Amino acid sequence: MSNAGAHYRPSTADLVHTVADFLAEIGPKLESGDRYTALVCTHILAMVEREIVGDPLEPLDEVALAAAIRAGHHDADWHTTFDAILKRTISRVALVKPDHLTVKHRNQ
Amino acid sequence: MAPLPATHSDFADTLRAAVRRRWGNAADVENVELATLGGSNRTILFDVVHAAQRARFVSREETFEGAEKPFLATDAQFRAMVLTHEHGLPVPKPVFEYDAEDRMGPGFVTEFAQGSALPRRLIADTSHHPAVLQQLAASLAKLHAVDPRSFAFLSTLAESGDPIATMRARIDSLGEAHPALELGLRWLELHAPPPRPQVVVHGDFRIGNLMVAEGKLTALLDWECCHLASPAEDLGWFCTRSWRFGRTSHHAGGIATRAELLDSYRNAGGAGITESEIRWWEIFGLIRWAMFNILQGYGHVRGRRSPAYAACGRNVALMEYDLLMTLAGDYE
Repeated sequence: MSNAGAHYRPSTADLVHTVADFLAEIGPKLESGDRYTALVCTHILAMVEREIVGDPLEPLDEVALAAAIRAGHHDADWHTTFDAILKRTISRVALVKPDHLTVKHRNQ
Repeated sequence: MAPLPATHSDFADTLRAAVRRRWGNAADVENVELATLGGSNRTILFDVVHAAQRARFVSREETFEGAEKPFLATDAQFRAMVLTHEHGLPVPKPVFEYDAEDRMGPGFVTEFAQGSALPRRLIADTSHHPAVLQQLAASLAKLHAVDPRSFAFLSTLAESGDPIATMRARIDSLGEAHPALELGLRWLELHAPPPRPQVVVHGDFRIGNLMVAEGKLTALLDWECCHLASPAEDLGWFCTRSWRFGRTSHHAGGIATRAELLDSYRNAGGAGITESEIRWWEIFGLIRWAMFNILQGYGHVRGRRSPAYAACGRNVALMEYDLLMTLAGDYE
């Protein structure tokens, strides 16, 4: 017996998954415009599910970072800055659409 | 094609009245269809039946409002289409603009161009790629040869100014920081090619905005991004990775290589543009495509809501990834 979280079963991710499954089932039966929107909704729910299950992004002041890059303050440490931003971008893509990543960046 | 939303009958009645004001009460409107709800315009197809003749037309209405919009107002779009049509470019023939009495809001009507603009269909039909490439390169060379003084009304657009400064201002106006895009913009600033004299550019020249029928380029669509810029901008946008539809080794829209596009363009009388110059504009293009997606996400949270626009906001990460991979030299 286990009551792991504050909520009864199913988990939040499972609830989202359940709706996504239903959408995937009815999507093909819809008219072309709605069929496309149903696909988009399935994509959105899959993203939300990955977000619930995965680790949150590290806190980072992106406003300050963006301004510093624009001002040229990271020209001298370009590669370090680039690598850090790439890493963060990979984390975002892994949530939004993991198969968009090239093989070497999957499951990082 | 989707049926029109709830306002269908109202819309058809209003459209019929607009048509009758110009062609008389014997004219009727039939087969009204919503083609797409695009990023900035609503496109509606309809037939006008008049004296036993039937012809298909296209109505374009502005749907994006607000100071942040980077799209040409419909009156300027209409004017650009009239002028390019007069110059013999393949443009759907402009017919009339809506005015206040039409109660349609800003927009216009053009003739319907035959063919398909569907990217997947065009990409799959490889036998027609050489012919399509040659025609689109020739159209682009012809557009870029038009005297920009006759398009002076475009000169005050932000997009006709410095591209990096304008892009930064666009992104700033959307109130979300994007360090990856800033890296791209800084790289562009440090690696800018020598400036070229400004020409009239289409501004959204890519697969998806080209109407093709049996290997013949019948129309260049979507003039809402027309402005004055380096001719390399149109070529670079055409090659931007997001517009290769999965055929990434065919840089030019998934139908040819970058070098083949540049050769065709030069053979058609276009300027001698280098591959490195095109690549600079491809980097710009990835940032620009990201900005358009930020814009849709921004519009969504401000009330222009749809699942697709909501997804656009998060999909920006995909363009940022492509941008960084291209800057790193991992993507070609």
